[in-house]
Amino acid sequence: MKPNPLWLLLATVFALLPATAHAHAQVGEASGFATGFLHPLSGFDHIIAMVAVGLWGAQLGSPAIWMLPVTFPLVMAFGGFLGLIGVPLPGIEIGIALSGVLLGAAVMTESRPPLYVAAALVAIFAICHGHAHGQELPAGTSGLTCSIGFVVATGFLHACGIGIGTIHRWSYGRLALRALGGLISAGGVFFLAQAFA
Amino acid sequence: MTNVKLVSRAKLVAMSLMFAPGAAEAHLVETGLGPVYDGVAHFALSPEYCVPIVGAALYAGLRGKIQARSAIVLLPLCWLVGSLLGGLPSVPGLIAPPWLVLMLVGGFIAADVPLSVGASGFFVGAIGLALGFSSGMATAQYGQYIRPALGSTAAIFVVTALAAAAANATFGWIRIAVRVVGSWIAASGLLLLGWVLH
Repeated sequence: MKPNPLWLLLATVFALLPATAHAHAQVGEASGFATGFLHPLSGFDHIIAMVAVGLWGAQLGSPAIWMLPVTFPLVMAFGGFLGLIGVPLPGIEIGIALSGVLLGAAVMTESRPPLYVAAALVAIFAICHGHAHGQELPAGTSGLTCSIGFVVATGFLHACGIGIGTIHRWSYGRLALRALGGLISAGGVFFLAQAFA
Repeated sequence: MTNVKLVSRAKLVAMSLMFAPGAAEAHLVETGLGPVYDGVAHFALSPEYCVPIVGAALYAGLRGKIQARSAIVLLPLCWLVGSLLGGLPSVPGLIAPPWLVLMLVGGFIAADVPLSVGASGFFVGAIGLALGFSSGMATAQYGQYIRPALGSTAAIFVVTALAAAAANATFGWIRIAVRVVGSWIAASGLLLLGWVLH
């Protein structure tokens, strides 16, 4: 007998029924991931800079489109490491605000520096962002899942930037992207003024 | 509707209900489903094991077909050997630091380190052995380790086959995505080191 697709669908729905999942015996795993994941999303100054990295990568094309998002989490993790072990870095808030200003300006002006210059710029700002997060991460959560959540959220923001940046292939898209860069830069100026206030 | 059709449909719905998941009370090793499933759950719910294992499989897939195929055998086999050794009484408590394993595996993927077939097999095998040993020690604390080791090995076989096949895809963007994931794994390892020293 040939199975009816409707019955097969019904059977699949039953099989995929979600059930209550009680937590693992290890403590802080789920909350650790949530804490880490929400941390980069909790500050607009972080969000605009990380999205700008993706936008700029999309504008620059290959290999920057993947090299910048690879560079950022690695160097940001190094900054986070410095923050976690308590190495002081002065002017972090200014650096974070400047990242919005300059990365936004790079998108706005569609600047195309050599790849190593772009990677170095992104890396310097990544240290500032990572250090700020590293200092603020709360104790008592699972370090591993918190780290994974933190990095995944950062990558997610870059992916958002790259996704939006794909409008670059159309002429009006290029214009919209440059306008978005201007907005990000203006946001950076706002945070810079706050950092100096 | 004939009786035959009605019975067939009833069987289909009954089977699907049978496979519908119940409340999953995942404990460190006790799922209530027996030691084999305890092993599967222990692996799946422990990111310090499943992330590097998936990473090692991705690396093997990234390197090529021969490496991917050998990883499907090597990774579960070395994990099993490691788990059995780790479960033995009076073994030295040598555990590879998770941050180091994550940084190594993630770094190798992100940089797409061009190891030879033998060297990449050794790397993948060493990861399986080291992590299996840690897992064996952890599960042995709860009384048994052989059947949980068999369960986790089966899970690793499936995960390795899927991850290695995905990474071995010929599309350029998949290779890039795998390398980006590698950088995330390495970054997580570096942050974890910060947590350890915190």
